[in-house]
Amino acid sequence: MTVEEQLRALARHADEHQQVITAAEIRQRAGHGFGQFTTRSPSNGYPVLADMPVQFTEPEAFVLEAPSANDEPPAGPRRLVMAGLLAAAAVVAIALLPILRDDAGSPADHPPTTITVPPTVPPRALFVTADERFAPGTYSVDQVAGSPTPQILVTVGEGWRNSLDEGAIRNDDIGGVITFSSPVAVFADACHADDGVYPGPITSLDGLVAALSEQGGWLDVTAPSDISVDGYPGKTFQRTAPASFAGCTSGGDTGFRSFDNGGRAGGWEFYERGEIETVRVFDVNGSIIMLTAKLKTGHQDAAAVDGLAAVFDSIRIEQA
Amino acid sequence: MRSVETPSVSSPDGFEAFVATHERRLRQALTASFGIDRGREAAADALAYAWEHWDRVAAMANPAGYLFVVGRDRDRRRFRSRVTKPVFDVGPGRPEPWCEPALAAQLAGLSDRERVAVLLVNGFDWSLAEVAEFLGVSKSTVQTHAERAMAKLRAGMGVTS
Repeated sequence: MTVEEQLRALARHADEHQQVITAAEIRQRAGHGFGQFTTRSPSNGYPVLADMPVQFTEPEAFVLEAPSANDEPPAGPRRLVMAGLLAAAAVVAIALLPILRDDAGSPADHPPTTITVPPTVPPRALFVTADERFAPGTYSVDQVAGSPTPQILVTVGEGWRNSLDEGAIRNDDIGGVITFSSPVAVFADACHADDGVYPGPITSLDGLVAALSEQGGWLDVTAPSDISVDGYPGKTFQRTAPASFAGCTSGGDTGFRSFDNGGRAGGWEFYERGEIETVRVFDVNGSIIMLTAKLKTGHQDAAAVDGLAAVFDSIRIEQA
Repeated sequence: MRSVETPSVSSPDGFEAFVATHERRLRQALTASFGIDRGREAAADALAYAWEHWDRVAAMANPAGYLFVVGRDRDRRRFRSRVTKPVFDVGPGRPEPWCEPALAAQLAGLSDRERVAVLLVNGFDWSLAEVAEFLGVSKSTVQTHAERAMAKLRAGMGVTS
């Protein structure tokens, strides 16, 4: 038997030997629990398991419920206070952005960016629960593509959610995606990944930037320029995917693939036609990380550009 | 002639309709993630959660995908200090299915995303689009994970097909 045939046999076995879960069983489990949910937490009313002393909280409670203004600020380490201040700065920046733009249109032209989270709220984890809209506020991640990093903070407004595939957040209202990657290989030509990978090393800031900015297949790539976030050196440039991927052979839906994120996450290794991507590559204590902000074609008006840039610019990287 | 009304998913009766429609797929996805026994248990937990929060879950755009996350979250909380590897009950001496003994170990060694993708696509015969919609990711992502997983399984089992 081939591996595929064995997988099908295994799946059939599971289907045939698992008892169907009925609505009656579910109600009984929820109400009486079979030793499962026997009581509810007095603090929040959520079910509590009888066989473990850990209170169930709603999974999205970590990231989706903004604490009330009456919540006490945490008596945590100083870096959380600093993170809160950074978050406050980013919140103010995002809230003021439409006001400060000279060419700003009517408020309706802009994506909603009002932030209501108290500035002292500590950042919440970015990739705990997925595929649910974030409450506006500051979120953190301490790894990129499986490699530990100092805390990376990002502040989002309305409309943002993360992907079940950890490593990207998106706002479907503006057609924007922000990704966190650490490529292990960059293809020499995004249109023909099967032609091979960039021959030089990509384990340095300059190496990865060269591989990405010199990659074939793009309609337009701007010259890389130096940037810095919280003392971490980096480079930034912009890439525009061609309007047609005719003849491209790099796989996926579109045939246009830029890099390999090492199998750890990364549907965004593949690109859509006409996509505009701002790339920022940083050297974080020797780890080279790639952050991108991508706008789909048809969503590249000023409001979308500003909405995406506000969140992308809010990214901070804590000092280790 | 008397018409038969189909219950809306937002009504109490809608929960039964939802279970009838989505239970199997939710169970399959969580089985792919955690193995046969834990997968069913996680699916039952997730559906119990849905029953208790039905008004909110019924209003979601992708309630089954959400419950998949709930099921994973609950399983991880339950097993946080105990068994963490998925268990697929295969091997010599088992009545069914016939599988190479190495398959279970190779499946357990895949990342969660790879295992879910390859089992749903190649085992339970979901389309890439169905998996992508369920998980809230792109078809490319599903394809990438499934292809990588299949390559790892073949390599690990020392076969080419």
